[in-house]
Amino acid sequence: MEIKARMPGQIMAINVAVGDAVNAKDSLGTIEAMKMEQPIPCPKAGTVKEISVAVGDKVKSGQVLIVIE
Amino acid sequence: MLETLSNLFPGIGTLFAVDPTIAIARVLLIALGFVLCMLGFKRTLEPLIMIPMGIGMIAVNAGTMFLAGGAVGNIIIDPMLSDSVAIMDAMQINFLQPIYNLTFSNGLIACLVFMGIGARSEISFLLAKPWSSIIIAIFAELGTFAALVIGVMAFSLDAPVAAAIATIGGADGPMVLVGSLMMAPELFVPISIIAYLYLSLTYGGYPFIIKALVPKKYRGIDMYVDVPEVSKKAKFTFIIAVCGFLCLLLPVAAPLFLSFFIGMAVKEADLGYYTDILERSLSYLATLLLGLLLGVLCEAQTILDPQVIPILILGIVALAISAVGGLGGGWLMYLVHKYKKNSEEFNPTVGIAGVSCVPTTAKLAQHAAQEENPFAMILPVAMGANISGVIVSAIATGVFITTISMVG
Repeated sequence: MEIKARMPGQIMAINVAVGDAVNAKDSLGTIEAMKMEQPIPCPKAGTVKEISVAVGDKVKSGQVLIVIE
Repeated sequence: MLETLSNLFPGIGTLFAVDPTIAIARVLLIALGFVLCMLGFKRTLEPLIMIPMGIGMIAVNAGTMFLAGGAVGNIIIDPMLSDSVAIMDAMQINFLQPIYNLTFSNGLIACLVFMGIGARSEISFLLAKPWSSIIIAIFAELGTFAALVIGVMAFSLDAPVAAAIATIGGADGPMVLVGSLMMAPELFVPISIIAYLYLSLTYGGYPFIIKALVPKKYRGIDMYVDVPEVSKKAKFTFIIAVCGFLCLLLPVAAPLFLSFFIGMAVKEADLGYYTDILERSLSYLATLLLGLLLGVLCEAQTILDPQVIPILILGIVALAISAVGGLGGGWLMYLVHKYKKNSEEFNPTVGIAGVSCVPTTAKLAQHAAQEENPFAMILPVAMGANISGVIVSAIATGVFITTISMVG
């Protein structure tokens, strides 16, 4: 399942690593959009398969950030 | 002895040479300037405007001196001049006079700020949920129309004056400046100052209106929007077409439309250097000068006008009713989405973003939603409403100016 950015912004923090087990409603990281910090929510339980961005990256709306399976 | 002291320190000496009311007003304004500076420093009010404004207010009310011919005044600005020759003379002496006469009185500075707003606005947000955005923006204009009616009926103001004050309900600084310049030029100094003060206060006041009108469980509704992939070419064409169309319909507001859409157009066309100038250097410079000018215009003699009281009352009424109107629009969209099949819920808080203080009100909506639901992301929809709000306010101002001049 691909977790996409919902607003254009910059990645401020990533709280997980590949292989971590995550639960629904966990905060996977922080994205800064229009000078506001938003958590990146995890929609369902699973394992982190891939992290497509790094801290400091500027992302576009709809860009894939993290893949969970 | 007192005479000598008074000559050595004219700032204090002049306090005794004028009407006691004005002297007291000067002292109060110096105090108000301090308060605004401190509130700006603490970020309670918008610092970008309030700090220059506060310092300007302190300087102009403290730095009064005896001028030639026994008159009392300052060498910062004289806003009351109307004779061209006198203005030219003053521009060579008063350091802010050229900025005032050449950028403020003709609305240039308002338009520069507006260009910056345009350059920051992303039109795809509007295109994500166009109908909701436009309907909410129209509802959020309620304050403007209500204030016009209240101004004419309750305060017996002339229609142009009431309309100029009512534009404060559109929550857009540049619009208020241009509107009052065209409809009530003799009052445009107090109207602009009060407008900017109140617009800063929306930070503080609006969250309470949101909490009062939107119960907790509705505030946290999350909305997933697909911001559509519209090609830059399509967006660009749309922007310049709408600009042309609106200018054709409402030429009195053409400076506003031109400024806003040039900001957007330059951004869509990927003109990086222009976008950077409009979004940053020009916009911040204009905001700095605007704050400074608003401050130095708050000189006791200029501002002690009994007509200031209706402006103070109507301004806040207009902004409050606009907020209620906007949230009403938000609730309407909530109901529409509830009764439409296969449609996800609409968060009524988005309504406040229809009051077009870009991007303050959109961020207020997002904050309010995040407080209840940390994962809620309504900012894209709120920004769509915000941008429609700007366009609708510009249209409303244009309509006012056009029709008021017809009614005379």
